[in-house]
Amino acid sequence: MSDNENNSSIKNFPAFKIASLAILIAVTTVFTYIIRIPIAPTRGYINFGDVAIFFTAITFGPMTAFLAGGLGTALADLFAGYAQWAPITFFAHGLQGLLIGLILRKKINIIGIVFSFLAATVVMAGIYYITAGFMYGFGPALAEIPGNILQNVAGIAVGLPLAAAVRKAYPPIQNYKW
Amino acid sequence: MITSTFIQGNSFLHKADPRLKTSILLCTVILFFLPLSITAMFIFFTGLVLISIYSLGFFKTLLPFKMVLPIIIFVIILTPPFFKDGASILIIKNIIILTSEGLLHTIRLILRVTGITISFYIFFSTTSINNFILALEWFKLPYKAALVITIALRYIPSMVIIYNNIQDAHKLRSSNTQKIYFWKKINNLFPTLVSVLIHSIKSIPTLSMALELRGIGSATKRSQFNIIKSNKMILQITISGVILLLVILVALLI
Repeated sequence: MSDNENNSSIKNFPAFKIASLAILIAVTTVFTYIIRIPIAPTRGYINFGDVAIFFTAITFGPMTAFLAGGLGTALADLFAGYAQWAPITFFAHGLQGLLIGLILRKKINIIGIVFSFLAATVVMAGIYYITAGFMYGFGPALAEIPGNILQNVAGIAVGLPLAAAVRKAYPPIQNYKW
Repeated sequence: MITSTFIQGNSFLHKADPRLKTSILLCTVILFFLPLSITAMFIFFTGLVLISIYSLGFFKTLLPFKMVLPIIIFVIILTPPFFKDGASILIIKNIIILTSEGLLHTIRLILRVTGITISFYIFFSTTSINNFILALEWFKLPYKAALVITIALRYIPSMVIIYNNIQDAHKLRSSNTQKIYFWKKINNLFPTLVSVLIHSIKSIPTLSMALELRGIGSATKRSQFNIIKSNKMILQITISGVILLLVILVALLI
């Protein structure tokens, strides 16, 4: 049996789904830790978690991106000492991954990329803005928006070429989508 | 890399049931969003600080304050200008800077954000991640979901090691290893990320086969080594703890 046949048959097993989710959650958590550029107002940081979310959404599909993106970034928040943000992060980044995965599910073209970027940015930054607004006021919460947009720009700028490079270097990954 | 926020200790919070602590954490977060008086909020906030000092020590209690400080500064700067009602407290060159209403709202927001931060800090400093997952399982989190998080937590430290090794290997291949400038670091990062991803993804089939061999996915009910004993006493304490907190909340609202 070839590698491709082997991979396409095992992906239907629950164990494969559990394994791929666990690995991608770990990847997202680690990517969120790799580069952390602090943003002054709220002591948040710009990270590569969005790169991992874009990669997961394109390579593994919307549901995997929702769970891995949401849980991976929430765990990173937890370990970084921002546990109070973890539940919000789960929904913000989870929905971000879900939307990117749904929009780019069939075909990756320039319209899809722009549309997925806009949808992901609006949903992610919007959830953070509304939650921060309720927590400590809508005025101070405005300060977070540029950072969140910048994070999404980094996500799409690095995530898309990264997905293409990994597909080229490791073709069996094309059968991992579920 | 820190993959646990748990601080070893012997306080009553360390010994308390994680289900009770999870329920109380949820109630505490709700409490800070309720329209309580500033006095009531301050009493709750002071209580949390005292509990934190007793359970974790004075210096460890300062950490959440340090983390939340930039937000507090922004709240102080940006909240008062939006409130013009109430008596004027600070007027500079005929411009009202601060009113009594603005001051009260600023204090409320500061107590809310600091209170929520300190609540989460106390919880995750006195509860291990494994106990937290067990508590979530008791609250009907599916076994497979708990398993996914547990495996991910085991993989995170080894993935960091893989990342560091790959990054070191890529550094060796670069011409100038003495001085690596910022742009060079960014340039080096892309192949490192590709290598880390391929290495990680290659482990998925092996891990899934290992899980298959351990019977994951079969219909038979699984037994667990680590469980929280669901005896009646703990259940009663949990329920009565939550009811007590709810009663306090209602009393404060009335």
